[in-house]
Amino acid sequence: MARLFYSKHRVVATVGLQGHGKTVFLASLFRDSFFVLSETMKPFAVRAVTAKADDVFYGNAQTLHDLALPPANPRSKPEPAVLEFAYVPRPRSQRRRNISLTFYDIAGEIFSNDRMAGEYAPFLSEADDIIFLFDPTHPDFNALRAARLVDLVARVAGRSGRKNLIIALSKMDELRDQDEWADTIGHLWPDTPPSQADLPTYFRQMDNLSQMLRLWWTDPARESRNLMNLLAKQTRFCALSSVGHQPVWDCECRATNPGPLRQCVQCHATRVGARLRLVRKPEPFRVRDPLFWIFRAAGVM
Amino acid sequence: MPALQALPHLFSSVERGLFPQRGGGFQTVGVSSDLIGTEDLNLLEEAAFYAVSRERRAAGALPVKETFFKLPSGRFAVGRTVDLGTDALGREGNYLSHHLVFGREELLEAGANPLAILDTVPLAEAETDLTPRELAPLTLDLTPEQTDPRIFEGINPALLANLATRTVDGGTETALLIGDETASRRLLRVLFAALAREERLRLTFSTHFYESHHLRSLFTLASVNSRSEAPPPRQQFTLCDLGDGEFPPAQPKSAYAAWLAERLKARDWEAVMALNGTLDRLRGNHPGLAQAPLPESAKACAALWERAGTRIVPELVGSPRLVKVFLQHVPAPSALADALLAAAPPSELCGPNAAPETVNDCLAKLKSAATGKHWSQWVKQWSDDPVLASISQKKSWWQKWKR
Repeated sequence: MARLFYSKHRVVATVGLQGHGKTVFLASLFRDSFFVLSETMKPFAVRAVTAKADDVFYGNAQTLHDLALPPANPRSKPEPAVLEFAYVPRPRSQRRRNISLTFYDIAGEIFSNDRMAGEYAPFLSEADDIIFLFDPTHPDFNALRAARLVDLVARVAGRSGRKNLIIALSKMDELRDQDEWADTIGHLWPDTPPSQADLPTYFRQMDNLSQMLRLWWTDPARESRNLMNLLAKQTRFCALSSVGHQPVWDCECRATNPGPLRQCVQCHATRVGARLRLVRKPEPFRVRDPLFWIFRAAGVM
Repeated sequence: MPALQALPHLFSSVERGLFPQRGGGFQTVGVSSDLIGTEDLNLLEEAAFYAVSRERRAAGALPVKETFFKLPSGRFAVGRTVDLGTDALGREGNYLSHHLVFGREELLEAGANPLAILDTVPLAEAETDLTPRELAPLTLDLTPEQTDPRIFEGINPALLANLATRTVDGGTETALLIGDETASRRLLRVLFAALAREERLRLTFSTHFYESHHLRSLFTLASVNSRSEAPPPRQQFTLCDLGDGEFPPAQPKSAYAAWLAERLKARDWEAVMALNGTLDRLRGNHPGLAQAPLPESAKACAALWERAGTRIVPELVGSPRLVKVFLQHVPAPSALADALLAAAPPSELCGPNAAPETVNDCLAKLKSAATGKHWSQWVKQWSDDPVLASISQKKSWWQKWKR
């Protein structure tokens, strides 16, 4: 494949259970680079290198743009979707670097056992960076399931100690007003994309947020101490929201209901066949943080 | 037609499936207990894949995918997959796959035509119960298949011959039909009508192959709606464009493929159906079929011998003319000659009413084709048979000299 720019290359695996936001995260990540960072970190640019990248990133970004959500991923071995990032800035340096990242967007249900994960996600073993996405608002989310997923990926990926692990909490828009999150992320809302000059400050925020989130995970209330003890010290933590607000669904009675609700607030009809939609354009929150952690681990930022 | 036993399998995106430890998502919702824990179930789950391009989803043109493939146990699966709207999380892209698994012999006896099953049995219907549960085996009563030669009308005979050759002779490449998926399905239907039952089992297919190239090894033939939906590693596929009628040539390797291709190109549908019927009857796959005259052309004899082997012998016993014809036309006829000698004494082999010249020709042909040992044993064993008297009276110069 002809490349426009010489670049480093890394393989990135996004891992999470079904419905925890992997596909929307990737679409939003691309959207943020394409629309926001290209403006604030000029001449930073991103391009889709493979046909799959065109579909996963441009296609799903367009879907978000149209106030819809990407369709569910069918269970299959995903094709590599390669993005090339050009002119990635470094703090306090005029030097710009290029990097290409191979992403794999995969259905969450394949992480239900080792056989399926090994069969459908063989890329885990070659991944340089693994982003774990957990939706703390999801009814499936608890410490045991999170630890089980991390263990499963460690077994399938092998040599996971050498990989750059990023633990990200998704859908933070639904939690940001709650007491325990107000101090952690409330002051960072709304999202402020960094310019090159702001990068040192932004990095400090990322470091602080990572430390605070580690504390959140180690809080006895989370019951995640065992998981935290097993993770390498250089594991990074993020909190993000891919669209910035809760999707909704429309009932036949014309009532608009928040996404997580299974019954209509007005007529109490069960949500069957109703499609989730966005009420306004996505306003992602710190969706770029996992990307920046990868850039930093790769030494390009 | 005997009742056909089928093991059902249902697969969709649900909050809880048959195996609750898997959580939510695409998974088996219901399956026959005979399939639980088998490699067959793993493959059924893998093959239960359905993707639709953005353009088609946006246009609301959601295709129905129909499949036929072989399972690791040797059984066969027939399936239909349809879009099922949104999943439990309110996302588009949910689908329902409904498979039926059949034993090989039962499928052969029922006609080995998956399209006939798909046309008869309601599969993947919108009101399918998706409660996680074990499913009881089904008993299907299929109506006997009646192939009307008019089915071949309007089909490009060269393309049909090409695809029949690829199906019969096999190979590593999957034939990828590019064009309207309804037209591809019609072509498939005609192709099934053109094949004998055992050869039909080679015609595994997927009628909607978008983004499915990881399943390529399962299918002899697959179809996509347009070139943009064709998988990227196209060298593993033989592309057949239904629009412009372009397809690479296929050289028959087997006698059956050569004969079939020739007859299909000549639009000789009656001959195709007659020989396939004979093959099915000889192989025991169609016991109810009435006996029909055997073909006598060189290629047909070779094809029949190649596919049916010694099962043709009982059909030749009693007809010295046919014995001669077949021995003349089959390549390496010694196996057929030896089998004929082992099957019947001279009088029975030549029949009661044959003309003496025909009998002599038949025996001469048998003698020259059979291995020497078999011939002399046969002659010795049946030395008292009146048919052999004529040739045993004629002594060679060596026997005369010895005496």
